[in-house]
Amino acid sequence: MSKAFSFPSHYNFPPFFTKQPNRETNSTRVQLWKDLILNYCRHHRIFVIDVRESLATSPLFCNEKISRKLRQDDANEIFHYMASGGYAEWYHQDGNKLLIYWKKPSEWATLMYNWARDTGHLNAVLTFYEIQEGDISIGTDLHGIDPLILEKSARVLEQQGKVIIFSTEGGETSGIKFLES
Amino acid sequence: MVWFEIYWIRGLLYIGISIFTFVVATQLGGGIFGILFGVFYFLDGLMYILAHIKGETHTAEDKNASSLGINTTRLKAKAAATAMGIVVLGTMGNLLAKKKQKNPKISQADMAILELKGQRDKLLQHQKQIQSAIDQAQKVAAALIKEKKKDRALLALKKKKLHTRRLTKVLDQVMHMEELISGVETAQRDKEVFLAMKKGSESLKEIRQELSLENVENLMNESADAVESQNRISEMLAGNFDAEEEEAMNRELDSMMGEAGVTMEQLELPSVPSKEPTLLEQKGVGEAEEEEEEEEEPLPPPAEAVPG
Repeated sequence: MSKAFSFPSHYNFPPFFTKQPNRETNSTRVQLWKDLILNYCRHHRIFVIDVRESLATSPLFCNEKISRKLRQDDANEIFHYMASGGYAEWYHQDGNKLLIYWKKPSEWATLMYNWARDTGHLNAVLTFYEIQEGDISIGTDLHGIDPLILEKSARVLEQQGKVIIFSTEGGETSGIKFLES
Repeated sequence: MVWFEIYWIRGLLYIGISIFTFVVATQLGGGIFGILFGVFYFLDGLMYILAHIKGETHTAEDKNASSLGINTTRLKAKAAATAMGIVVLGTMGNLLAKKKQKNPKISQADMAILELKGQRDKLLQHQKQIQSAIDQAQKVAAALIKEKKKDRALLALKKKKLHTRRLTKVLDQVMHMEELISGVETAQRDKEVFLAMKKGSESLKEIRQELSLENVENLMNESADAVESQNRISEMLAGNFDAEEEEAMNRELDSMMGEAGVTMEQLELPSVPSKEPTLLEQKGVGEAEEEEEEEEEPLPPPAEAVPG
């Protein structure tokens, strides 16, 4: 990473890591956590977190300086809050993988469509892999996007009738055709 | 006797076909007709079995329908079954066609491009894999040199060389793929351009046809004829003056003007106001004046409209 993430000051404040008895204080705390998680993931371009692993090792949830860790229960409360606001989504039944939406699928969708329009890819066929890993997306936010989030965003555009998603006969490759609207 | 001339076998065959048709109709969406045909086939099959139970067998008489009773029914059923077979085949053909053409906006070229790009993506992934193998071999070699295991380090370097050669090959393939893809894309675009130009030239041709020289000539002749006849009509209506009378009139006009002391120049009238006079009549005088001020080029209003 080019630049280290600068944690906010409340990150070094021990009560930030534990549930607060006062309801209002606690809800502020949860909101601050949401912002912190989104900012952290945006900075490091993290799209999915493995809950168990990151709770155990990620500096996001483990502050070694004040030797505090976010507990699973407290984390679940925060994740639930994020999911209800559309900032995160569980994927996998076991509830261990969490998609982090520092951009929501609808925002990704708009970004993707505008990118396709501005780079002359309307009416062209692109593969998902190409958008995600190919040379054509280098230098844009789309490069390196998580395939799951990419597909969700593409489905948003499909619903709006702006793209067609189709696959080869064997179903090996999925592609997207951006339509002029 | 051929096997299908044995009625109970034939009956079972028809029932089998009817079940198949029924499945096609319900599972793949053949619609109400498919179900109907299935039912007909089923009845047909039942009839054959019934005939078998009655002890009837296939005879030459069946073919000329000379006998009455169940034979005629069977003939009808046979005819119906044949017709149905044709329709069912048609329905199935439709179904297959429907399955193939999922989306009208996805052309075959699009499909081909996706296929090619999929292959290219695979090559790119392969390339990454080889690249990491090269890096790994490099690392291993470096580590072995540090450990002073020269032979094994050499082996690792050989491996690296091998991977590097593969990498060039894969890169070449990717290049070829890219060329092919851009070729298809260009061809597709060319086709669109061609179609657009074709459309344009067709409509141009159409317009040209309407505007053929002959038609234009005809039109011009017709309008010349019309002008001529119009002239003739007005001449007849007006009653014409000959040249002498015209001159006399001009002379009289000149003399009258001479008497009044007016020359041709003085007769020049002021230009006609371009503004609608009705506006002034409808509005109050004051309002009219305001309107005038707003105008960019106010025209002098008629004298009686301006208050003293």
